Amino acid sequence: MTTETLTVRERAEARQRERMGEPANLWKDAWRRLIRNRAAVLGGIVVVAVVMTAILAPQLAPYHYAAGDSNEAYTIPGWLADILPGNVRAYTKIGEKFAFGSDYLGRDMLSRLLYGTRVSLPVGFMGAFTALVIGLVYGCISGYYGGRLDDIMMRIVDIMYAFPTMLLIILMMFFFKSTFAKVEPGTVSYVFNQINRVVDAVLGLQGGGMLFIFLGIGITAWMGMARLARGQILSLKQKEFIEAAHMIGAGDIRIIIRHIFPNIVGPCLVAETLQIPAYINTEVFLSFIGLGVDPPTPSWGAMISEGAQSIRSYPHMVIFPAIALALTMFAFNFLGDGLRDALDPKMKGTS
Amino acid sequence: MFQYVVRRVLWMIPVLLFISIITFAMAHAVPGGPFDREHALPPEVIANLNKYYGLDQPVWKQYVKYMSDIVLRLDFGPTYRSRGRTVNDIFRDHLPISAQLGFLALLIALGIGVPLGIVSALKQNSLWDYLGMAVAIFGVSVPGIVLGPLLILIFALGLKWFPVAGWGSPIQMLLPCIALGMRESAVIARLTRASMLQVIREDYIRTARAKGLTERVVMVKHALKNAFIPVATVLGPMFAVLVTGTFVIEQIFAIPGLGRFFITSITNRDYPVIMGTILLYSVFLVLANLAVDITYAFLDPRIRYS
Repeated sequence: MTTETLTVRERAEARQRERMGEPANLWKDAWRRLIRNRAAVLGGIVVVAVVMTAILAPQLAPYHYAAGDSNEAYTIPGWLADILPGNVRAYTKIGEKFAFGSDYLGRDMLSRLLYGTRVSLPVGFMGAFTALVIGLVYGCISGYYGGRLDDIMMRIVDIMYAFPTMLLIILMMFFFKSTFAKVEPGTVSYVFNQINRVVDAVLGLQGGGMLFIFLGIGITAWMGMARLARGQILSLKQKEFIEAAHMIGAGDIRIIIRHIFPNIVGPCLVAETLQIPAYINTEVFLSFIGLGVDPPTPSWGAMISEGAQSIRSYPHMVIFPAIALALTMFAFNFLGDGLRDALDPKMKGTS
Repeated sequence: MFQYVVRRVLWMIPVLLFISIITFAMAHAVPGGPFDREHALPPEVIANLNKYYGLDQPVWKQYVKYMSDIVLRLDFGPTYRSRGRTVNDIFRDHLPISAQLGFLALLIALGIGVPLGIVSALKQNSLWDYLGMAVAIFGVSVPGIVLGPLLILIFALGLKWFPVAGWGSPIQMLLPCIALGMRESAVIARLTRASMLQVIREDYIRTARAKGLTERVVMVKHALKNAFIPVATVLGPMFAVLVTGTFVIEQIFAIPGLGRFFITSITNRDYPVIMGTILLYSVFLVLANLAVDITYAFLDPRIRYS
């Protein structure tokens, strides 16, 4: 489009833009800062790659994650045998069928690694999502209404904090596993079981029991978010624009949703992004102790656990899931740090 | 100050009571009993065992008896898994090992984290700063569950500098302590750097410099003391987590610590062990937090408890 075709008004706007520079836009500025941060961009690329891997796992994986032949157990490809410590060639099968070798049941390590993203990623995202929803609602109510209600709600959070989170999750996971094992139509556990089946089917991991991991992590993860949201609201409540909103007769719900929420959602989102590695780690821990996903679902934690048992003889079983996990965690941490720096430059380098 | 400590100690009581009630209720709500075996025991035997351990009583009665035993005699009850052994025996045998591991890991975390944080704050955007941040991001991204096996592979199996597993000699302790402490050292390094950066911009630091103190005195006496306050807040929970033993590290390095009992007790429905370990952990956590709050007062004279 040439200048001649612009209307007077558009020309005026263009001139003003030239003089004043682009109007400040929080998200645009944040995006520009994020793009300039090389570590964050790299992290973002890896995260996207992992997400794509999770979506395309059935197409990418050469074998099914549960398919294996015990005759081919502990097969190690030649390139790997050369770099592993010890004399691996002396006692194990060398074969090129599996790119990363096979595990103790002859299942392809690579395929299990690829499918493993379908466990780790949903856990990370769902954990963050649940914590965000519960924490925001809880924190908003507590912070906005204040007074006695706030006292009681925060005392509850204090007590929950004193509770060892890991042990609470372990207790709950065990409760879920034993309670929902028996299915009788019409009961509560039956309903949960059906939901769980749908979740597993959506993720393509039949019999994985993913819903219970989401629940276990979600129920214990919201306390930090509730505190953060409450703190944000407390400082926001005194601002003039909230007072103005009260003045013109806006209701509490409207003020919370329209005026407070948009102002606190940024920091809360960033805080939850930084928590995603922690949720992934929780699932890994649960699967490590055998309370996570049910076998043969390929969780990286379960794979590390299996591998750690035979680390002397077959180190390949532990190396690959460990590296995959570390890479994913690095990516999320870099991205989260970058997001925080981009959205809130004052916070740079803190926490 | 004294009043504050008393109030905090009294506040511990409802917290611990609440935790014990929740844990007791949840442990008993899990279906199955402590005497379920692969080969089912005859019902008469189970009934007798239940009667012997008082499990045939209503749950609230069991709870009252359990708690009064602890309060009156510090008796944490028997373990149902091995006859004649009590939870106190388990604590006595396994807690020192976990405590050793946790304490050494905390020392490593402080030894790496604090100096690294200070140096990277003082020499901001230098090579040291980048090294510090690299360690910090490495620490939070590589959990013990990954670091443990990798350390074994590289330093025990590959280079053969350390034994693969076990506990007792100092050389056996190094790898697990690093695997356990790495994450915490990252947390400490980040926090030290951040608070140090904040403190050195304060007015009183400028004043200290202006009155002609050497840079060393300014940093050690004025900056570091104040920068350490946020670090102290995380040390409390950190210590409790480390001391009560992290299952993963103990499992990977075959260390006979307490961590194992946190998990096996739940799968075995060994109620007294579940209660004992969780209460122990909670007491550690609450006491550690209290200790941290009291040390505040010494580090920061502005904080006065009333």
